[in-house]
Amino acid sequence: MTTTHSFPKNPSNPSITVPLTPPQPEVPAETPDISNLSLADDVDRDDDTFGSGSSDQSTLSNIDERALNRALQLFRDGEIEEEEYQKIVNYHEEYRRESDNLDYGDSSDSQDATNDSQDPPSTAPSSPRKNSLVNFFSLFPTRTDRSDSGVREEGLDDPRAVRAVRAASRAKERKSRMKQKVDAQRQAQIQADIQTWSETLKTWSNKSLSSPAVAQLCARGIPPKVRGDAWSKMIGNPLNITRDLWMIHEKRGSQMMEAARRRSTSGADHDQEEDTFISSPPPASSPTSSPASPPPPPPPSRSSHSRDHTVIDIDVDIPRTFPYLSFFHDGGEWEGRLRRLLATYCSYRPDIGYIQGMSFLAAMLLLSMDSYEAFLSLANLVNSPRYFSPSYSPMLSSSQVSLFNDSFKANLPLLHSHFKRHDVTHELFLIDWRLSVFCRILPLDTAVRIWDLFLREGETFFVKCSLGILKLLRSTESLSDTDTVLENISKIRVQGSPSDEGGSFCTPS
Amino acid sequence: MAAKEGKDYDMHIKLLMLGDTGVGKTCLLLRYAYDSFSPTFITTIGIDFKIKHVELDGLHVKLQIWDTAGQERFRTITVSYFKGAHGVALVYDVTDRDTFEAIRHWVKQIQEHAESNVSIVLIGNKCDKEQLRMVSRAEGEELAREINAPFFETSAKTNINVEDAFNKMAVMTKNSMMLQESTSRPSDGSLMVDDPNVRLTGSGKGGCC
Repeated sequence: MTTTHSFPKNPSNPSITVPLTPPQPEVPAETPDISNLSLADDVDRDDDTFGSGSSDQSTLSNIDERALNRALQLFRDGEIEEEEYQKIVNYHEEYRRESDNLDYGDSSDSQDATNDSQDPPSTAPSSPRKNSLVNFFSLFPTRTDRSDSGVREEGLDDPRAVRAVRAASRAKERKSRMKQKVDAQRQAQIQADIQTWSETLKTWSNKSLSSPAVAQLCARGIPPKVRGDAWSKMIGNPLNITRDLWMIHEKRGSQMMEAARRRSTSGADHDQEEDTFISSPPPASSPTSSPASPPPPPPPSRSSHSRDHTVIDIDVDIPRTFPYLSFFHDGGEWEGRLRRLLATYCSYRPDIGYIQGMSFLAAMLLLSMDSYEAFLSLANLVNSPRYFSPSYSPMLSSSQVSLFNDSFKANLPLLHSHFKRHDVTHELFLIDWRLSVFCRILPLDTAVRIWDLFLREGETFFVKCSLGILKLLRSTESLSDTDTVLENISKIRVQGSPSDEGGSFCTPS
Repeated sequence: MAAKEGKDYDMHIKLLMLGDTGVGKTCLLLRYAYDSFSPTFITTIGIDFKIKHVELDGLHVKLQIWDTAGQERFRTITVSYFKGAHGVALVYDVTDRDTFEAIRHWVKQIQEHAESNVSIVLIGNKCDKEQLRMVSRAEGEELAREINAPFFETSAKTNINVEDAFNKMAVMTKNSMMLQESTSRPSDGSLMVDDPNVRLTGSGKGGCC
């Protein structure tokens, strides 16, 4: 949950995803020295030959090559770090350089080797060639025992290599200890947070939302175990929805959907319903949000404005909701839950109906709550001017636009003027970000953390987060022309983020 | 029409993708612009766009293609992009009759909100799903005649006719723009200026007083 991510830098790839985990170090291209060697068959022989004191240049050189090959393999397998691999390559280079100046006919080498073999490893330094051999083999962690003992027996070690190896292994141990410590601390923190949340939720009141303790808890990320309850409490239930009401609308929603499907397949024209629908007021039982003041939409000209049609849109959008979470569209239980939840909402608020983007909110809530809680939260969330002022709709109010623009201008003046110069309007990104509350553009685990904060702070956090994303965009932005700006924005939107498939949050509980 | 200074194109054409939700507008565009097809589905919430550079009759043309949300709710936003569009791709899904029926409504929207000389191409997408087909090719052709638009049946998935459809639209748009340009210029090359405050001082030497 603490993962950070960066936005893609490669503008030519339309389907870049944001990796949740930091990218693995790239394996460097094979070094020229070893690229053409295929010595796998010689590995055993290599071991036998090693330490025999042979002074044959080509054999030694081959051993080096093999060593380097082995190192590359280990590095690729992830058994050694990039740093260690680099160290090995450097030793190799050093050996090459030094050995170029050596007279290999000199018998003192083999003499040294024989002598050294009887001495402890820390004795006088041996020749560069032997150093090199020792260095390579002693630097392989997976062969440490063998090569170490070999080195000590043969006495071919070099203090520099020993120091380097020891330092590397100490660093690795430190790193692993540190990681364990951090993990343990995190676990302890999560347990403590769960405890605190449970107590807070028991005594939840309207004031809790603004308490500094809750703010701190949210900022740390709500533990998945209590997230559903916490979200539900933070959204609240000003609409006074009851379980009975939910059951009525769930039934009606399913009927509506069935009817719409029948009409759709029979091709019946239902334009006649349109007018009655448009003019129908919201149910008296549900308080409406503060009146919206967007410019009047163009006159409806086709049946898609009817509630039947927005119910049909649900079917179209379900496979497109978190497309990388297959359990939402494999025809199974979760798909049914998502569809029913949206249809229930359409039945509850036919005046609003289904708006594209809503499926993400519904799915997000379902991941943490049962169907009733999710409906209660969805209805209250979408209705709340605290989250969507004045209403959940593709049209942003002028006050919203100016809030966003003013904050944008104040915080990112250069990017703001750049956008202005190139006619990049907020519509190109803000509508999408708002209606899906970042669920479509951010990896799920990141989006969940954003929601922890958004549900507490409301719309102001939406603006903050939008500016944060734009700031990230700025850093990858050449700021050259409109197309670059727009395409970068558009690419942020296209990420399917399959990388977070394994996120802890994604598995249905 | 010479390349404008500092620009890497001779002509800039704005196209618009219209059609009901789920007909495959975004997939068609991804296929055309990047020659890719995403098996995962993408909802367009609001407005999106892609750029494609093409050579048409020796001209380097930059196509800016706007992709719109199909849902009625987003119409207020998408309508504001009708004005600047030079060409429109009207897309329906051959496996969904409703989306085909809706084309007439879309045409009305175009007549109401777009420029009068906008070029239209009618596209029946998902023609690879022959078993699920609910709109025949003949019906598509008939509607296309009625609205006076070229017709293509395409498949973004199996890459059938996508390039042809977009290229046809681009060529039509380009020709209509060039025609418009030539009719707005007298044959001697001087500029026609509507502004009454500006007078042409002589043939070939357009200037203001």
